[in-house]
Amino acid sequence: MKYDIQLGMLATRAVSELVQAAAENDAQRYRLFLKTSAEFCQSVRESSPQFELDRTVPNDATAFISAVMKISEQRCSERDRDRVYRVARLEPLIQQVLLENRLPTEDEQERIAEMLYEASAADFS
Amino acid sequence: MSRNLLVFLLSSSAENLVRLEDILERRRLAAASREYTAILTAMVDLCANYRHHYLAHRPTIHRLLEGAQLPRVEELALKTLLRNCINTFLTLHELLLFLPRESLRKEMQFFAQSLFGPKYSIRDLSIILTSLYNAFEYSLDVAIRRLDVFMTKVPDAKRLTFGHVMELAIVDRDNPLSWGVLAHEFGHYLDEKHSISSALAAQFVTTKIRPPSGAASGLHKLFRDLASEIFADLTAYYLLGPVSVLPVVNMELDLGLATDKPMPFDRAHPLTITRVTMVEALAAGDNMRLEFFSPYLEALREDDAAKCAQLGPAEKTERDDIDRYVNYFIDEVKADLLARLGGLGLRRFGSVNLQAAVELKPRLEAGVPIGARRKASEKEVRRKLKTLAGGRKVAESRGVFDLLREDPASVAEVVTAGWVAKCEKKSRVLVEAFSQKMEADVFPYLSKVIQQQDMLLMKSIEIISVISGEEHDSAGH
Repeated sequence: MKYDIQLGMLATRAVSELVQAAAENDAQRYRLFLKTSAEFCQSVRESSPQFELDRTVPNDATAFISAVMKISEQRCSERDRDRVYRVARLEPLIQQVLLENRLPTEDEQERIAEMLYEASAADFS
Repeated sequence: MSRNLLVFLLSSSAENLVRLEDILERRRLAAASREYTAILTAMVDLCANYRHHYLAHRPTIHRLLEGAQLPRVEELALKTLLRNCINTFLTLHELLLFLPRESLRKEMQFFAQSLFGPKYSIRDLSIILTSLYNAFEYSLDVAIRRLDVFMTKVPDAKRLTFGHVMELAIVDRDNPLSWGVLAHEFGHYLDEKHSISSALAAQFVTTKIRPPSGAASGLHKLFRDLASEIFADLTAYYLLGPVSVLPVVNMELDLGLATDKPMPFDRAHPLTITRVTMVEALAAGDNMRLEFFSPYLEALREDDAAKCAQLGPAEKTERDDIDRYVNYFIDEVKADLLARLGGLGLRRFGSVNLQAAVELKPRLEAGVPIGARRKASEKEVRRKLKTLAGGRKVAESRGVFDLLREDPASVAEVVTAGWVAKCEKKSRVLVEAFSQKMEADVFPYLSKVIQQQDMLLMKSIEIISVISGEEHDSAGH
C-alpha cells in the first residue's frame, strides 16, 4: 500500500476547516479551507512521479530532463495519474476563488471536497 | 454511502485510532530508549491530530448517529476524515514493526490451546505479532521464501522446511474478537501437516479442467493455493462458528475505505464477499441464525456493491467470471474438505454453542466475565436452596448445593458472545462517546469501553483456563 501521511493530513485539515466554516458561517475558516486545499494540490503535484519539470532550460540539460521525465512516467501508477488529473482540474478553481477573495459556492465546496476525498485514497496497485 | 456503512466505518476507524494510541502509549512507557522517542512522539502527535479532527466533525457525527440524511458536502468531509484516519492507521501500524515488541498474552495462548484442542502443540506452532497484511494475507513461510536473499543466497532453499508460524496483527494483541484469524491460520497448519487440500485441488484440475501439459503446473499451483484458503476458512468456521469470518470482514471494510475500487482477486483468497457467502451457507445448514451480525455483513455487501459500480464493464465481467468459477470450485471441494476436517478429532462449533453465546451476552454486557456458567438459573438455585431445611439427607442437600457449581464455557462461545454484544452496541457506544459534555472526554470514553470489552473477554478466557485446570486436576491427572 502506498499512502502519503502528510497529504492525508492536509486533506483532513481542509475538510475540517470546511465543516467548521459551514457550521459557524465563518469567512476566515472558508479561506483556510481554500488555502489548505491549494496546499494539498501543490503537494500532490510535487510528490507525483509525473511532476512536470521545467523544460525551458539550457540545451545541455534537455536530454537529462527528458530521461528523468521518462523514468518518472514509467514509475507513475494509474492511481498517481488519477490523483494528478483530479487535482489539475480543481486547482485553478481554488486559486480563482482565493484571488477573487470570496466564499466558495455550495457547488464549488462540493467539487473541492470530492477532489480531496478521491485524491487522498491509498494506492494498492 | 448508506448510514449503516458510514456508522460502521466511523466505529472501526475510531477504534483503530484508540487501539493504536494505547499501544503507542505503552511503548512510550516501556521503551525508555532514547532512539525511539522521536518516532513514538511523532506517531502519538499524529493520532492526537486525528482525534482533534474527529471532534471538529462532531456535529456531523451527531446528525449521522441520529439517523439524519447528511448533506453531500458533510458526507464527503466525513468520508475524507475516515479514509485518511484509516490510511494513516494502516501506515503507522507498519511502523510498529520497527519498534520494540510486546509479548503475547497468556490468554491468547490458552485460547489457541483450548480452541485447537488435541491438534495444537506449542512446540510445533508459534504465534507472532506482525503487520496487518501478514496477519490477513501472507504466511511468514511464503513471505520468507519470496525474499531475494533467501532465493539467491540460501543453498537448496526449496528443501528447507519451516515450523508453522501463526501471525496476528500487533493491534489485535489485546483484542480477543480478532483472535479468530488464528483459527484460519491453524487451518493452514492442519492442511500442511495432513496434506488435505492439495490432493483435492490436483484431482479437480486433472478431472475437471484437463489442461494441456504445459499449462498444468500453473493451474495446479493456483487451485492448490485456492483450496488451501478454502480449507483454512472451513477450519475457522468449524472451530469458531460464523464469527470466524468477521475479522476478515472488518479488515476488508477498513481497506475498502482506503481506496475506491474493490480488492482484486489475489490468486489465493476467494473474494471476501464469497467467503462470507460460504460461511452463511454453512451456518444455514447448521441451523445457525446470523442476524446478530447483520450490521457487519450488510456493510460489506453495500461496500462491495458500491465498489463494483466503479468498475468498467470489462473489469466487472472479469471479476464475475473469476467469482463464478471460484464458487463452482468451492461447491466441488467443500464436502470433501469438511469430511477430512471432521476426521481430525477437533471440537466443532454448532448451533448449541451459538445459543449458549447469545445467552451469555447479557452477563457480558452487565460487566461480568462469562468464562463459566451454572446449568440452573439463579432463580431455580435460590428456590431449591430455600427448600433445604434441617433433617434433610446429606446427599439430598449436596444435590442442591451442586447446582451452584459452575461449568466452563468454551472460548468459542466467549468470543461469539463478544461479537454479538459488539454488533448490538456499536451505534450506542458511538452515541454515548460523542455525546460527552466535554470534548476532551470523547476519546477517553471510547478507550474505556474498548479496554473494558477486551479485559472482560480475556478475564472470561482466563476463568475457563482456571476451571478447566481444576477439572483436570480433580480428575486425578
